[in-house]
Amino acid sequence: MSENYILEMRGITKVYPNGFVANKDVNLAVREGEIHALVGENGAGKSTLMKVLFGVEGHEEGEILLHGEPVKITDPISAIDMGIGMVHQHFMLVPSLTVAENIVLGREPRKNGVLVNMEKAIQDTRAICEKYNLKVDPTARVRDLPVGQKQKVEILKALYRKAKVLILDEPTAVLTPQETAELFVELKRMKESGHTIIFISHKLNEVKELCDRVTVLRLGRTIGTADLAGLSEQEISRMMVGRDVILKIQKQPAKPGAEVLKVRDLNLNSADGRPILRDVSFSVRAGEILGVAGVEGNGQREMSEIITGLLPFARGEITISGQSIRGRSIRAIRDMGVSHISEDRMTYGVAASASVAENIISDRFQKAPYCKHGFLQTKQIGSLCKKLIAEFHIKCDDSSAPVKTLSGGNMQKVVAAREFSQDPKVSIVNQPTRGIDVGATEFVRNKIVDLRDQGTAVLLISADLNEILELSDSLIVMHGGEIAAYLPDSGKVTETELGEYMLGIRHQTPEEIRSACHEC
Amino acid sequence: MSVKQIEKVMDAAKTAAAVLLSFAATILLICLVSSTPWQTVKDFFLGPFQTTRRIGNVIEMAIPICFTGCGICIMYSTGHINMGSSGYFYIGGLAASIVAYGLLLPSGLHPVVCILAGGLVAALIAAIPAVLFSAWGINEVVSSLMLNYIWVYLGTWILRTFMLDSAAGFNASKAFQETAKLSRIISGTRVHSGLILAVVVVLFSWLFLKKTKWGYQIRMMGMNSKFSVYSGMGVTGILLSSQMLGGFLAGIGGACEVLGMYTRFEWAAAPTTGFDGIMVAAIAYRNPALVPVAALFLAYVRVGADVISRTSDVPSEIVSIIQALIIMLVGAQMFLSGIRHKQIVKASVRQLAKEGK
Repeated sequence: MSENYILEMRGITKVYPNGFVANKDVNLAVREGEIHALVGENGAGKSTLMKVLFGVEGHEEGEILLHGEPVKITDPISAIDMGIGMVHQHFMLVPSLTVAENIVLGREPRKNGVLVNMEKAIQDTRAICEKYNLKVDPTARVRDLPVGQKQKVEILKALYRKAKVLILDEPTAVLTPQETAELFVELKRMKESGHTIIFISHKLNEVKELCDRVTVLRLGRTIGTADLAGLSEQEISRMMVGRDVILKIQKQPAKPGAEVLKVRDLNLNSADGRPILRDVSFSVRAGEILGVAGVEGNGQREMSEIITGLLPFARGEITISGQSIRGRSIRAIRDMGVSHISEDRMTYGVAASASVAENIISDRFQKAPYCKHGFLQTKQIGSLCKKLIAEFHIKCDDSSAPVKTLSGGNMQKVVAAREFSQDPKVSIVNQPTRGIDVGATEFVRNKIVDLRDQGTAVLLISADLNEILELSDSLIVMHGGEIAAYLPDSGKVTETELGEYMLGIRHQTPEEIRSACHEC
Repeated sequence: MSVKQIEKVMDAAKTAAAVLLSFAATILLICLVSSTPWQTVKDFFLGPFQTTRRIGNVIEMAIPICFTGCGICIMYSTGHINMGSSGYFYIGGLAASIVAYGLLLPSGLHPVVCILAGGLVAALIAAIPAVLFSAWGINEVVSSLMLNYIWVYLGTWILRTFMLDSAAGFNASKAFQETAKLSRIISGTRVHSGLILAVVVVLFSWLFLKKTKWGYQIRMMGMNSKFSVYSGMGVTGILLSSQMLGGFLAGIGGACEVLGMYTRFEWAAAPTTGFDGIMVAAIAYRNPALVPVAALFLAYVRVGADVISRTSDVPSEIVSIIQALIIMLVGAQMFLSGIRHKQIVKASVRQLAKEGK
């Protein structure tokens, strides 16, 4: 080997038990001491490739070389022993333990060979924090930390296990622009101290700013590896997508009608009495999209679950066209014309083992013409599914295929086909394009705009700032369970401004926020 | 082949492999312990077919298992495990017996009333674990299993306190009215008209589970109950009604068993039929249409074991080994999973090539 690769993956093929080919003959070669970007659309196979490298998933074909030597990585423990560390997209921390306890977990310093030496653990944590200039309080409980800090704990955990190669799976997805900038400074420092970093992202500006070289994946295959120095964002994007597209949604200015969804003084406390929602008031009019921006975990999920009936609410009032939803069942609320795309597709959105047809009819199976005298009408259901599969470009063998055999994007189209096809009055759309490929993203986003144009009041909740800015007519920003800002014209908002509201650095006056209710 | 087809074929292959492996183990065991291995093996496999009486034995043994098996298919399709069918079967038989000796009814009507009584009482008690779960989150596996003891001892107390016929000479109820008994339908055997009801129950269960809106809700709840809630289904109601229906089927099974096979109620303990139903439903992958096949198979190996215990030096307990092996292998997620995964990988890669990607 002429070049000094610390790590090579050659011809990796990974097929999931549902038959989905996530990686096909993928190659990746990483030089020692570089920050190597692994880019590709959602669903291109980046996370899978890294799971194979970290030993979380096995692979069918191919080999992994470390310092030029073939190695067998059977599980994360062997990966860690070889000096590979991974920071997962969803943190793997124990919330009730302290930072130091989390960091040493499984490799605790011992006292007399038996007891855990907690002082040493805290000292070690301090030392490693100082060495890499990552500022975290070792004695704080992880559950009390903000997301950016939790991520630092994850990185420290890997460094404590002496990781030389550090994998970061979409680390910026949960961060505000300000936190992202801080992370980049830290990563560059780690690189200078001799660490190799694999940085997974689909945000090209970040990749361009931070990384030395890039490997592009598309549809589970390697498209190529290149030096970032001579490469423009457009060129990378073309490699990623295979064509020149930048997600630009064509939409006409909204023509808002009457208020449909009205939320007044909504309050919710968690089981331990912590406020989750505080005096949230806003309204959504027919034919408009109200975007909800905010770092995840600031009450957005609970808000959408309350509106759709999944969570009960104590104080406040929610009405649909003037009718209160208080005390109504989920089915009754759905019958009022509320549809709901859940942020958690696999938990709520679909029954993965059930067929496409069974997933599509879950909100109307008991109604004519799909059900007569208690019997499901196979013919009517078949023709409905045929129509929706065509209309929503769902790629599947036929409507009897189990949903788990579909790609993420096609699963989400099944959900959208169900939720958008009954002329909803209100649609609560939560993270509609999370984890799906660019084609499906474009499609779902256009469908949301179509829905608006047909007069539906759309409440769009998304952690993807681009999506919020692209689709919303007006938007609110949530921080700490409160509305931090109401921005009536989303066309005039910058990402920086949004970031400041999201972080709680800025907060509008109560008068400005009150204008989120149109007919107060 | 699509992934879906591969999964179906592999399920069938897994069951077939489980059956063959357990048979191989049986033959090996017989060879080890028997002084006449060849004759014993032959008796075991062919014995159940050799006389009308034995064929009848297979069918009459399979009838009650069809009832409990279908009940289990419906109950388990919600994703909740109810271990109580043994108690429901017992109580169904008990309740039917009370009506069978205590009431005077015309012959066409009498068994119908007995069976309905058995089914309804069993349905009521089958609701208890579901109610306990919904109200207080009590684990149904444990509660339903423990309640079996309560039903059997309660039944024994009822039998000894209210039903006992001192003239019978053992712990048995008064004799059933002639009008209540189910008639023999195949001469030379004890196969009774409960067979017809069993066929109806299998058909009903299959239609109910696969074709009606209630069955649809039960299956969706079993696959992902959060999805059901999110879609607007009332999961508590679905759970309760499915458990009651499952209990009802087990109960009418118990009723048919006492009316077709006995002249008095004399069960001192719950028959194994309830747990046989669990076994059969597992082999049938919870599909009611396959329940009779699995039930007949189970009855076949039991009758075979019975035959060799009488004709050779091998005890009938050998059947427990076959049962255990089959259930373990069918239930084992990883059994043959390597082959399954390879097939799926091949099919998927081929599919990719076909799409030209």
